[in-house]
Amino acid sequence: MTATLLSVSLKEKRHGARAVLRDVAFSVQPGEIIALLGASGCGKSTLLRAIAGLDTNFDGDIQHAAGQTGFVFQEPRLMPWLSVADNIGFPLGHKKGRQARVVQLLEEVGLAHAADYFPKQLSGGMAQRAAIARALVAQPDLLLLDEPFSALDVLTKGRLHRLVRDLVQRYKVGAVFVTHDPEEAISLAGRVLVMAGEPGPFRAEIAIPAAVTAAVRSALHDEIIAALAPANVNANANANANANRSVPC
Amino acid sequence: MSLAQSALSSAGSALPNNRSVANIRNRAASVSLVTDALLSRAGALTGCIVPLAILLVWESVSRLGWVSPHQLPPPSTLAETAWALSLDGTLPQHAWVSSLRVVAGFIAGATLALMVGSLVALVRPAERLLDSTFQGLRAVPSLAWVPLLLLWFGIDETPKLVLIAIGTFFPVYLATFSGLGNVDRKLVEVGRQAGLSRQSLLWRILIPAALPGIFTGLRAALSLGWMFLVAAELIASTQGLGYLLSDGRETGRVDLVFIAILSLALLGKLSDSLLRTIEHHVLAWRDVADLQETSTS
Repeated sequence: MTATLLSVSLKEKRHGARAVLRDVAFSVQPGEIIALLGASGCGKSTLLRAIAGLDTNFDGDIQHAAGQTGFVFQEPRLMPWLSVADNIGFPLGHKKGRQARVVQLLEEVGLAHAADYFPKQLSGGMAQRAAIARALVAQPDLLLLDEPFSALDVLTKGRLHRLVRDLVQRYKVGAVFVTHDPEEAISLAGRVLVMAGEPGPFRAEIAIPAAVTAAVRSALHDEIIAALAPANVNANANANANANRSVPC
Repeated sequence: MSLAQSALSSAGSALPNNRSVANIRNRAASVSLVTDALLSRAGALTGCIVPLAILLVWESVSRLGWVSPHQLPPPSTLAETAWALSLDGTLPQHAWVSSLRVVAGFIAGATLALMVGSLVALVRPAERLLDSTFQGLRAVPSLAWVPLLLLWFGIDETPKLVLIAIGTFFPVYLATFSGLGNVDRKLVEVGRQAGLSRQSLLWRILIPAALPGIFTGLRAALSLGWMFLVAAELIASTQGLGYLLSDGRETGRVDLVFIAILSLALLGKLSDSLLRTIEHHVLAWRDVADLQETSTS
Protein backbone atom coordinates (compact mmCIF):
# COMPACT_ATOMS: atom_id res chain seq x y z
CA MET A 1 0.00 0.00 0.00
CA THR A 2 1.66 3.19 -1.17
CA ALA A 3 0.95 6.58 0.29
CA THR A 4 -0.90 9.04 -1.88
CA LEU A 5 1.55 11.48 -3.40
CA LEU A 6 -0.81 14.21 -4.36
CA SER A 7 -4.43 14.81 -3.70
CA VAL A 8 -6.24 17.61 -5.42
CA SER A 9 -9.61 18.84 -4.40
CA LEU A 10 -10.19 22.14 -6.10
CA LYS A 11 -13.52 23.85 -5.60
CA GLU A 12 -13.16 26.80 -7.90
CA LYS A 13 -10.60 28.78 -9.82
CA ARG A 14 -11.56 31.99 -11.55
CA HIS A 15 -9.89 34.25 -14.06
CA GLY A 16 -11.61 37.49 -13.19
CA ALA A 17 -15.33 36.91 -13.34
CA ARG A 18 -15.05 33.71 -15.36
CA ALA A 19 -14.79 30.36 -13.63
CA VAL A 20 -12.09 28.23 -15.22
CA LEU A 21 -12.16 25.19 -12.97
CA ARG A 22 -14.86 23.84 -10.70
CA ASP A 23 -15.07 20.74 -8.51
CA VAL A 24 -11.98 19.04 -9.78
CA ALA A 25 -10.69 16.18 -7.67
CA PHE A 26 -8.13 13.44 -8.18
CA SER A 27 -5.11 11.89 -6.58
CA VAL A 28 -1.76 10.54 -7.74
CA GLN A 29 0.18 7.54 -6.45
CA PRO A 30 3.95 7.13 -6.77
CA GLY A 31 4.95 5.62 -10.11
CA GLU A 32 1.68 6.60 -11.72
CA ILE A 33 1.31 8.72 -14.85
CA ILE A 34 -1.86 10.73 -15.21
CA ALA A 35 -2.98 12.58 -18.30
CA LEU A 36 -5.16 15.66 -18.12
CA LEU A 37 -6.79 15.66 -21.52
CA GLY A 38 -8.88 18.33 -23.14
CA ALA A 39 -9.02 20.92 -25.87
CA SER A 40 -7.05 24.15 -25.57
CA GLY A 41 -8.41 26.62 -23.09
CA CYS A 42 -10.37 24.32 -20.82
CA GLY A 43 -8.19 24.89 -17.80
CA LYS A 44 -5.77 21.97 -17.99
CA SER A 45 -2.70 24.14 -17.75
CA THR A 46 -4.30 26.29 -15.08
CA LEU A 47 -4.89 23.18 -13.02
CA LEU A 48 -1.29 22.07 -13.49
CA ARG A 49 0.02 25.49 -12.49
CA ALA A 50 -2.11 25.40 -9.37
CA ILE A 51 -0.64 22.02 -8.48
CA ALA A 52 2.87 23.36 -9.09
CA GLY A 53 2.23 26.26 -6.77
CA LEU A 54 2.82 28.76 -9.59
CA ASP A 55 -0.73 29.95 -9.04
CA THR A 56 -2.05 30.04 -5.49
CA ASN A 57 -5.15 32.11 -6.09
CA PHE A 58 -7.87 29.44 -6.01
CA ASP A 59 -10.48 27.99 -3.74
CA GLY A 60 -9.80 24.44 -2.67
CA ASP A 61 -7.16 22.18 -1.33
CA ILE A 62 -4.09 20.69 -2.93
CA GLN A 63 -2.14 18.32 -0.73
CA HIS A 64 1.29 17.32 -1.82
CA ALA A 65 3.08 14.88 0.46
CA ALA A 66 6.17 16.87 1.38
CA GLY A 67 8.52 16.72 -1.53
CA GLN A 68 9.94 18.44 -4.55
CA THR A 69 8.04 19.12 -7.73
CA GLY A 70 9.65 19.09 -11.14
CA PHE A 71 7.95 21.05 -13.89
CA VAL A 72 8.37 20.67 -17.64
CA PHE A 73 6.90 23.58 -19.52
CA GLN A 74 5.42 23.58 -22.97
CA GLU A 75 8.59 25.19 -24.29
CA PRO A 76 11.98 24.02 -23.00
CA ARG A 77 12.62 27.37 -21.29
CA LEU A 78 16.34 26.77 -20.96
CA MET A 79 18.47 29.69 -19.81
CA PRO A 80 20.17 30.75 -23.05
CA TRP A 81 23.33 31.87 -21.22
CA LEU A 82 23.95 28.50 -19.53
CA SER A 83 25.41 25.36 -21.07
CA VAL A 84 23.13 22.36 -21.33
CA ALA A 85 24.78 20.81 -18.27
CA ASP A 86 24.42 23.98 -16.19
CA ASN A 87 20.82 24.27 -17.33
CA ILE A 88 20.06 20.78 -16.12
CA GLY A 89 21.81 21.58 -12.84
CA PHE A 90 19.97 24.89 -12.55
CA PRO A 91 17.62 23.91 -9.68
CA LEU A 92 20.65 22.71 -7.69
CA GLY A 93 22.41 26.06 -7.80
CA HIS A 94 24.73 28.19 -9.87
CA LYS A 95 26.97 26.30 -12.35
CA LYS A 96 26.20 22.85 -11.01
CA GLY A 97 26.70 21.17 -14.39
CA ARG A 98 29.59 19.00 -13.17
CA GLN A 99 27.68 17.30 -10.38
CA ALA A 100 27.36 13.53 -10.60
CA ARG A 101 23.58 13.78 -10.66
CA VAL A 102 23.68 16.04 -13.69
CA VAL A 103 26.20 13.85 -15.50
CA GLN A 104 24.00 10.84 -14.91
CA LEU A 105 20.88 12.59 -16.18
CA LEU A 106 22.76 13.86 -19.25
CA GLU A 107 23.54 10.24 -19.98
CA GLU A 108 19.96 9.12 -19.39
CA VAL A 109 18.39 11.66 -21.70
CA GLY A 110 21.09 11.10 -24.33
CA LEU A 111 22.70 14.51 -24.14
CA ALA A 112 26.11 13.54 -22.76
CA HIS A 113 27.75 14.70 -25.99
CA ALA A 114 25.99 18.07 -25.81
CA ALA A 115 26.81 18.92 -22.20
CA ASP A 116 28.74 22.05 -23.13
CA TYR A 117 26.44 23.29 -25.88
CA PHE A 118 24.47 26.47 -25.50
CA PRO A 119 20.69 26.09 -25.91
CA LYS A 120 20.86 27.89 -29.27
CA GLN A 121 22.77 24.89 -30.63
CA LEU A 122 20.06 22.36 -29.72
CA SER A 123 17.21 20.96 -31.76
CA GLY A 124 13.71 21.16 -30.33
CA GLY A 125 13.81 17.56 -29.15
CA MET A 126 17.21 17.94 -27.51
CA ALA A 127 16.11 21.09 -25.72
CA GLN A 128 12.99 19.40 -24.42
CA ARG A 129 15.06 16.44 -23.21
CA ALA A 130 17.29 18.88 -21.35
CA ALA A 131 14.17 20.43 -19.81
CA ILE A 132 12.95 17.01 -18.67
CA ALA A 133 16.35 16.28 -17.14
CA ARG A 134 16.26 19.65 -15.37
CA ALA A 135 12.86 18.84 -13.92
CA LEU A 136 14.24 15.60 -12.50
CA VAL A 137 17.56 16.86 -11.18
CA ALA A 138 16.39 17.92 -7.73
CA GLN A 139 14.95 14.43 -7.23
CA PRO A 140 11.30 15.44 -7.18
CA ASP A 141 8.65 12.94 -6.21
CA LEU A 142 6.16 14.61 -8.51
CA LEU A 143 6.72 15.51 -12.13
CA LEU A 144 4.36 17.95 -13.84
CA LEU A 145 4.44 18.30 -17.62
CA ASP A 146 2.51 20.97 -19.51
CA GLU A 147 2.05 19.75 -23.10
CA PRO A 148 5.78 19.15 -23.25
CA PHE A 149 5.73 17.25 -26.53
CA SER A 150 3.25 19.28 -28.53
CA ALA A 151 5.88 21.01 -30.66
CA LEU A 152 7.84 17.87 -31.51
CA ASP A 153 7.71 15.52 -34.46
CA VAL A 154 6.19 12.06 -34.12
CA LEU A 155 9.48 10.17 -33.86
CA THR A 156 10.93 12.44 -31.21
CA LYS A 157 7.63 12.37 -29.38
CA GLY A 158 7.67 8.56 -29.23
CA ARG A 159 11.25 8.54 -27.98
CA LEU A 160 10.48 11.09 -25.27
CA HIS A 161 7.37 9.13 -24.18
CA ARG A 162 9.58 6.11 -23.62
CA LEU A 163 12.11 8.29 -21.80
CA VAL A 164 9.52 9.76 -19.45
CA ARG A 165 8.03 6.32 -18.76
CA ASP A 166 11.46 4.91 -17.94
CA LEU A 167 12.39 7.81 -15.71
CA VAL A 168 9.10 7.68 -13.84
CA GLN A 169 9.63 3.96 -13.26
CA ARG A 170 13.24 4.33 -12.23
CA TYR A 171 12.78 7.23 -9.85
CA LYS A 172 9.34 6.16 -8.60
CA VAL A 173 7.89 9.60 -9.11
CA GLY A 174 4.31 10.41 -9.86
CA ALA A 175 3.63 12.34 -13.02
CA VAL A 176 0.79 14.50 -14.22
CA PHE A 177 0.86 15.67 -17.80
CA VAL A 178 -1.37 17.86 -19.82
CA THR A 179 -2.18 17.01 -23.41
CA HIS A 180 -4.80 17.58 -26.06
CA ASP A 181 -3.83 14.46 -27.96
CA PRO A 182 -5.77 11.24 -27.14
CA GLU A 183 -3.03 9.10 -28.75
CA GLU A 184 -0.42 10.63 -26.51
CA ALA A 185 -2.60 10.14 -23.44
CA ILE A 186 -3.11 6.48 -24.27
CA SER A 187 0.51 5.77 -25.01
CA LEU A 188 1.93 7.52 -21.97
CA ALA A 189 -0.61 7.60 -19.16
CA GLY A 190 -1.96 4.97 -16.77
CA ARG A 191 -5.07 7.02 -16.23
CA VAL A 192 -6.67 9.67 -18.43
CA LEU A 193 -8.81 12.41 -16.92
CA VAL A 194 -10.94 14.09 -19.56
CA MET A 195 -11.90 17.73 -19.26
CA ALA A 196 -14.32 19.49 -21.60
CA GLY A 197 -17.07 22.03 -21.83
CA GLU A 198 -18.18 24.12 -18.89
CA PRO A 199 -15.94 24.09 -15.84
CA GLY A 200 -16.95 21.10 -13.80
CA PRO A 201 -15.90 17.63 -12.68
CA PHE A 202 -13.89 15.47 -15.10
CA ARG A 203 -16.02 14.17 -17.96
CA ALA A 204 -14.47 10.77 -17.69
CA GLU A 205 -11.72 8.92 -15.96
CA ILE A 206 -10.29 6.20 -18.14
CA ALA A 207 -7.76 3.64 -16.97
CA ILE A 208 -5.26 2.58 -19.58
CA PRO A 209 -4.21 -1.07 -19.28
CA ALA A 210 -0.51 -1.81 -19.18
CA ALA A 211 -0.46 -3.63 -22.52
CA VAL A 212 -2.56 -1.88 -25.10
CA THR A 213 -3.47 -3.85 -28.22
CA ALA A 214 -4.53 -2.15 -31.41
CA ALA A 215 -8.16 -2.99 -30.77
CA VAL A 216 -8.03 -1.73 -27.22
CA ARG A 217 -6.28 1.40 -28.37
CA SER A 218 -8.97 2.24 -30.84
CA ALA A 219 -11.71 1.54 -28.27
CA LEU A 220 -9.97 3.82 -25.78
CA HIS A 221 -9.61 6.45 -28.45
CA ASP A 222 -13.35 6.32 -29.16
CA GLU A 223 -14.13 6.52 -25.47
CA ILE A 224 -11.99 9.63 -25.06
CA ILE A 225 -13.49 11.29 -28.11
CA ALA A 226 -16.97 10.55 -26.82
CA ALA A 227 -16.11 12.08 -23.46
CA LEU A 228 -14.66 15.14 -25.17
CA ALA A 229 -17.77 15.75 -27.25
CA PRO A 230 -20.06 18.64 -26.25
CA ALA A 231 -22.27 17.66 -23.33
CA ASN A 232 -25.55 18.07 -25.23
CA VAL A 233 -24.65 15.36 -27.72
CA ASN A 234 -22.91 13.20 -25.16
CA ALA A 235 -25.22 10.30 -24.25
CA ASN A 236 -23.93 9.93 -20.72
CA ALA A 237 -23.39 13.59 -19.95
CA ASN A 238 -22.98 14.29 -16.30
CA ALA A 239 -26.51 15.72 -16.16
CA ASN A 240 -25.06 19.18 -16.02
CA ALA A 241 -27.78 21.78 -15.54
CA ASN A 242 -25.96 24.04 -17.92
CA ALA A 243 -25.60 21.36 -20.53
CA ASN A 244 -27.46 23.28 -23.21
CA ARG A 245 -25.19 26.27 -22.99
CA SER A 246 -22.04 24.29 -22.85
CA VAL A 247 -19.59 24.43 -25.71
CA PRO A 248 -16.40 22.53 -26.18
CA CYS A 249 -13.70 24.77 -24.82
CA MET B 1 40.38 58.23 -56.82
CA SER B 2 43.25 56.61 -58.66
CA LEU B 3 45.15 56.80 -55.41
CA ALA B 4 42.40 54.91 -53.63
CA GLN B 5 42.36 52.30 -56.34
CA SER B 6 46.09 51.74 -56.27
CA ALA B 7 45.94 51.43 -52.48
CA LEU B 8 43.23 48.85 -52.96
CA SER B 9 45.07 46.74 -55.48
CA SER B 10 48.30 46.83 -53.52
CA ALA B 11 46.43 45.69 -50.41
CA GLY B 12 45.03 42.85 -52.47
CA SER B 13 48.29 41.75 -54.07
CA ALA B 14 50.05 41.65 -50.71
CA LEU B 15 47.79 38.86 -49.61
CA PRO B 16 48.20 35.14 -50.29
CA ASN B 17 46.00 34.58 -53.28
CA ASN B 18 44.82 30.99 -52.99
CA ARG B 19 41.55 31.57 -51.30
CA SER B 20 40.66 34.76 -53.05
CA VAL B 21 41.20 32.99 -56.35
CA ALA B 22 38.91 30.21 -55.21
CA ASN B 23 36.40 32.79 -54.07
CA ILE B 24 36.48 34.40 -57.43
CA ARG B 25 36.03 31.11 -59.21
CA ASN B 26 32.98 30.32 -57.13
CA ARG B 27 31.36 33.57 -58.07
CA ALA B 28 30.73 35.07 -61.44
CA ALA B 29 33.99 36.71 -62.46
CA SER B 30 32.78 40.27 -62.84
CA VAL B 31 35.06 43.09 -61.76
CA SER B 32 32.88 44.22 -58.89
CA LEU B 33 32.87 40.72 -57.49
CA VAL B 34 36.64 40.53 -57.74
CA THR B 35 37.06 43.64 -55.61
CA ASP B 36 34.38 42.25 -53.35
CA ALA B 37 36.42 39.08 -52.86
CA LEU B 38 39.58 41.07 -52.25
CA LEU B 39 37.75 43.21 -49.72
CA SER B 40 36.36 40.28 -47.82
CA ARG B 41 39.74 38.55 -47.93
CA ALA B 42 41.40 41.64 -46.52
CA GLY B 43 39.07 41.37 -43.51
CA ALA B 44 40.30 43.64 -40.77
CA LEU B 45 42.31 45.74 -43.21
CA THR B 46 39.14 46.75 -45.03
CA GLY B 47 38.35 49.32 -42.37
CA CYS B 48 41.66 51.09 -43.09
CA ILE B 49 40.98 51.72 -46.76
CA VAL B 50 38.82 54.82 -46.39
CA PRO B 51 41.05 56.52 -43.77
CA LEU B 52 44.12 55.77 -45.89
CA ALA B 53 42.49 57.20 -48.97
CA ILE B 54 41.49 60.32 -47.05
CA LEU B 55 45.06 60.73 -45.81
CA LEU B 56 46.44 60.47 -49.34
CA VAL B 57 44.00 63.01 -50.75
CA TRP B 58 44.59 65.32 -47.79
CA GLU B 59 48.35 65.16 -48.15
CA SER B 60 48.26 65.93 -51.85
CA VAL B 61 45.75 68.76 -51.44
CA SER B 62 48.02 70.41 -48.84
CA ARG B 63 51.20 69.76 -50.82
CA LEU B 64 49.68 71.22 -53.97
CA GLY B 65 48.97 74.37 -52.00
CA TRP B 66 45.21 74.24 -52.59
CA VAL B 67 44.60 75.02 -48.93
CA SER B 68 46.76 76.93 -46.49
CA PRO B 69 48.86 74.68 -44.22
CA HIS B 70 47.81 76.98 -41.36
CA GLN B 71 44.27 75.82 -41.77
CA LEU B 72 44.84 72.29 -42.91
CA PRO B 73 48.36 71.05 -42.23
CA PRO B 74 49.26 67.98 -44.29
CA PRO B 75 49.27 64.62 -42.51
CA SER B 76 53.04 64.45 -42.78
CA THR B 77 53.38 67.62 -40.69
CA LEU B 78 50.86 66.23 -38.21
CA ALA B 79 52.87 63.03 -38.00
CA GLU B 80 56.03 64.99 -37.32
CA THR B 81 54.37 67.04 -34.56
CA ALA B 82 52.79 63.93 -33.09
CA TRP B 83 56.13 62.17 -33.13
CA ALA B 84 57.84 65.09 -31.40
CA LEU B 85 55.05 65.35 -28.81
CA SER B 86 55.27 61.62 -28.20
CA LEU B 87 59.04 61.68 -27.76
CA ASP B 88 58.94 64.43 -25.15
CA GLY B 89 56.07 62.61 -23.40
CA THR B 90 53.50 65.40 -23.79
CA LEU B 91 51.00 63.55 -25.94
CA PRO B 92 51.08 60.26 -23.98
CA GLN B 93 50.69 62.28 -20.80
CA HIS B 94 47.60 64.13 -22.10
CA ALA B 95 46.13 60.91 -23.46
CA TRP B 96 46.79 59.09 -20.21
CA VAL B 97 45.19 61.81 -18.06
CA SER B 98 42.12 61.92 -20.30
CA SER B 99 41.76 58.14 -20.35
CA LEU B 100 41.97 57.95 -16.58
CA ARG B 101 39.25 60.58 -16.26
CA VAL B 102 36.96 58.76 -18.65
CA VAL B 103 37.56 55.40 -17.00
CA ALA B 104 37.03 56.77 -13.48
CA GLY B 105 33.92 58.76 -14.42
CA PHE B 106 32.52 55.88 -16.47
CA ILE B 107 33.03 53.34 -13.70
CA ALA B 108 31.45 55.62 -11.12
CA GLY B 109 28.50 56.60 -13.30
CA ALA B 110 27.87 53.11 -14.67
CA THR B 111 28.12 51.41 -11.28
CA LEU B 112 25.70 53.84 -9.73
CA ALA B 113 23.37 53.48 -12.71
CA LEU B 114 23.44 49.68 -12.47
CA MET B 115 22.51 49.82 -8.82
CA VAL B 116 19.83 52.50 -9.10
CA GLY B 117 18.47 50.98 -12.31
CA SER B 118 18.12 47.55 -10.68
CA LEU B 119 16.48 49.07 -7.62
CA VAL B 120 13.98 51.05 -9.67
CA ALA B 121 13.24 48.07 -11.92
CA LEU B 122 12.80 45.54 -9.13
CA VAL B 123 11.19 47.43 -6.27
CA ARG B 124 7.84 48.90 -7.15
CA PRO B 125 7.86 51.68 -4.50
CA ALA B 126 11.29 52.73 -5.74
CA GLU B 127 9.99 52.93 -9.29
CA ARG B 128 7.06 55.10 -8.25
CA LEU B 129 9.33 57.23 -6.10
CA LEU B 130 12.32 57.67 -8.36
CA ASP B 131 11.64 56.97 -12.01
CA SER B 132 9.84 60.20 -12.86
CA THR B 133 12.58 62.16 -11.11
CA PHE B 134 15.25 60.45 -13.18
CA GLN B 135 13.26 60.96 -16.36
CA GLY B 136 13.16 64.65 -15.50
CA LEU B 137 16.86 64.85 -14.74
CA ARG B 138 17.62 62.96 -17.92
CA ALA B 139 15.91 65.69 -19.90
CA VAL B 140 18.54 68.18 -18.70
CA PRO B 141 21.30 68.35 -21.32
CA SER B 142 24.28 67.15 -19.33
CA LEU B 143 26.40 70.15 -20.32
CA ALA B 144 23.95 72.37 -18.46
CA TRP B 145 25.44 70.95 -15.27
CA VAL B 146 28.85 72.41 -16.04
CA PRO B 147 28.41 75.86 -14.42
CA LEU B 148 26.85 74.28 -11.36
CA LEU B 149 29.64 71.75 -11.06
CA LEU B 150 32.27 74.47 -11.41
CA LEU B 151 30.59 76.51 -8.69
CA TRP B 152 30.32 73.54 -6.39
CA PHE B 153 33.57 71.74 -6.97
CA GLY B 154 35.91 74.39 -8.30
CA ILE B 155 38.07 73.63 -11.32
CA ASP B 156 39.68 70.53 -9.88
CA GLU B 157 39.40 66.92 -11.01
CA THR B 158 36.09 66.54 -9.19
CA PRO B 159 33.77 68.49 -11.52
CA LYS B 160 35.23 66.70 -14.54
CA LEU B 161 34.69 63.27 -13.04
CA VAL B 162 31.20 64.19 -11.85
CA LEU B 163 30.26 65.49 -15.29
CA ILE B 164 31.47 62.30 -16.98
CA ALA B 165 29.68 60.24 -14.34
CA ILE B 166 26.44 62.14 -14.96
CA GLY B 167 26.81 61.68 -18.69
CA THR B 168 27.39 57.94 -18.40
CA PHE B 169 24.74 57.42 -15.74
CA PHE B 170 21.63 57.88 -17.84
CA PRO B 171 22.25 55.49 -20.75
CA VAL B 172 23.23 52.74 -18.30
CA TYR B 173 20.31 53.54 -16.00
CA LEU B 174 17.84 53.34 -18.87
CA ALA B 175 19.37 50.15 -20.26
CA THR B 176 19.34 48.46 -16.85
CA PHE B 177 15.83 49.58 -16.05
CA SER B 178 14.34 48.46 -19.34
CA GLY B 179 16.57 45.38 -19.59
CA LEU B 180 15.39 44.07 -16.24
CA GLY B 181 11.82 45.09 -16.97
CA ASN B 182 11.75 43.10 -20.20
CA VAL B 183 13.02 39.76 -18.94
CA ASP B 184 10.94 36.91 -20.33
CA ARG B 185 8.27 35.98 -17.80
CA LYS B 186 8.71 32.35 -18.81
CA LEU B 187 12.31 32.22 -17.61
CA VAL B 188 11.38 33.93 -14.35
CA GLU B 189 8.72 31.28 -13.85
CA VAL B 190 11.33 28.54 -14.19
CA GLY B 191 13.24 30.19 -11.36
CA ARG B 192 10.18 30.57 -9.17
CA GLN B 193 9.27 26.95 -9.82
CA ALA B 194 12.76 25.90 -8.75
CA GLY B 195 12.18 27.79 -5.52
CA LEU B 196 14.75 30.54 -6.07
CA SER B 197 14.92 33.35 -3.54
CA ARG B 198 14.46 36.93 -4.76
CA GLN B 199 18.18 37.42 -4.60
CA SER B 200 19.11 34.33 -6.60
CA LEU B 201 16.36 35.18 -9.05
CA LEU B 202 18.09 38.51 -9.59
CA TRP B 203 21.59 37.09 -9.97
CA ARG B 204 20.80 33.88 -11.80
CA ILE B 205 18.01 34.95 -14.14
CA LEU B 206 17.22 38.65 -14.28
CA ILE B 207 20.74 40.04 -14.62
CA PRO B 208 22.02 37.50 -17.18
CA ALA B 209 18.85 37.98 -19.20
CA ALA B 210 19.20 41.76 -19.09
CA LEU B 211 22.90 41.74 -19.95
CA PRO B 212 22.57 42.23 -23.73
CA GLY B 213 20.61 45.43 -23.17
CA ILE B 214 22.91 46.57 -20.39
CA PHE B 215 25.94 46.16 -22.65
CA THR B 216 24.34 48.32 -25.30
CA GLY B 217 23.82 50.95 -22.63
CA LEU B 218 27.40 50.64 -21.43
CA ARG B 219 28.78 51.17 -24.91
CA ALA B 220 26.59 54.20 -25.50
CA ALA B 221 27.67 55.53 -22.10
CA LEU B 222 31.35 55.08 -22.82
CA SER B 223 31.21 57.14 -25.98
CA LEU B 224 29.23 59.80 -24.12
CA GLY B 225 31.95 59.68 -21.48
CA TRP B 226 34.51 60.81 -24.07
CA MET B 227 32.18 63.55 -25.18
CA PHE B 228 31.78 64.95 -21.69
CA LEU B 229 35.48 64.57 -21.06
CA VAL B 230 36.19 66.99 -23.90
CA ALA B 231 33.54 69.39 -22.65
CA ALA B 232 34.99 69.35 -19.15
CA GLU B 233 38.58 69.70 -20.33
CA LEU B 234 37.81 72.47 -22.80
CA ILE B 235 36.38 74.60 -20.03
CA ALA B 236 39.01 74.35 -17.37
CA SER B 237 42.05 72.13 -17.35
CA THR B 238 45.80 72.13 -17.67
CA GLN B 239 46.12 68.57 -18.88
CA GLY B 240 44.32 66.19 -21.15
CA LEU B 241 43.32 66.05 -24.80
CA GLY B 242 40.61 68.66 -24.30
CA TYR B 243 43.28 70.99 -22.97
CA LEU B 244 45.40 70.22 -26.01
CA LEU B 245 42.43 71.23 -28.17
CA SER B 246 41.94 74.60 -26.49
CA ASP B 247 45.68 75.17 -26.25
CA GLY B 248 46.01 74.59 -29.98
CA ARG B 249 43.17 76.99 -30.68
CA GLU B 250 44.58 79.73 -28.44
CA THR B 251 48.10 79.47 -29.86
CA GLY B 252 46.90 79.09 -33.43
CA ARG B 253 48.46 75.62 -33.70
CA VAL B 254 46.03 73.79 -35.96
CA ASP B 255 48.29 70.76 -35.90
CA LEU B 256 47.76 70.40 -32.13
CA VAL B 257 43.99 70.57 -32.63
CA PHE B 258 44.19 67.90 -35.29
CA ILE B 259 46.38 65.68 -33.18
CA ALA B 260 43.99 65.98 -30.24
CA ILE B 261 41.04 65.12 -32.46
CA LEU B 262 42.82 62.12 -33.95
CA SER B 263 43.90 60.93 -30.50
CA LEU B 264 40.30 61.20 -29.30
CA ALA B 265 39.12 59.22 -32.29
CA LEU B 266 41.75 56.59 -31.66
CA LEU B 267 41.11 56.29 -27.92
CA GLY B 268 37.34 56.32 -28.35
CA LYS B 269 37.55 53.57 -30.93
CA LEU B 270 40.01 51.60 -28.82
CA SER B 271 37.88 51.74 -25.67
CA ASP B 272 34.76 50.79 -27.61
CA SER B 273 36.56 47.85 -29.19
CA LEU B 274 37.69 46.73 -25.77
CA LEU B 275 34.15 46.86 -24.42
CA ARG B 276 32.90 45.12 -27.54
CA THR B 277 35.40 42.31 -27.09
CA ILE B 278 34.23 41.85 -23.53
CA GLU B 279 30.61 41.95 -24.69
CA HIS B 280 31.29 39.40 -27.39
CA HIS B 281 32.90 37.12 -24.86
CA VAL B 282 30.28 37.50 -22.13
CA LEU B 283 27.34 37.23 -24.52
CA ALA B 284 28.63 34.34 -26.61
CA TRP B 285 25.42 32.51 -25.79
CA ARG B 286 23.24 34.98 -27.66
CA ASP B 287 21.20 33.48 -30.48
CA VAL B 288 21.31 36.32 -32.98
CA ALA B 289 21.08 36.46 -36.73
CA ASP B 290 24.14 37.65 -38.60
CA LEU B 291 22.35 40.28 -40.65
CA GLN B 292 25.34 41.03 -42.88
CA GLU B 293 25.84 37.34 -43.59
CA THR B 294 22.25 36.94 -44.74
CA SER B 295 22.24 40.11 -46.79
CA THR B 296 25.37 39.33 -48.83
CA SER B 297 24.87 35.63 -49.43
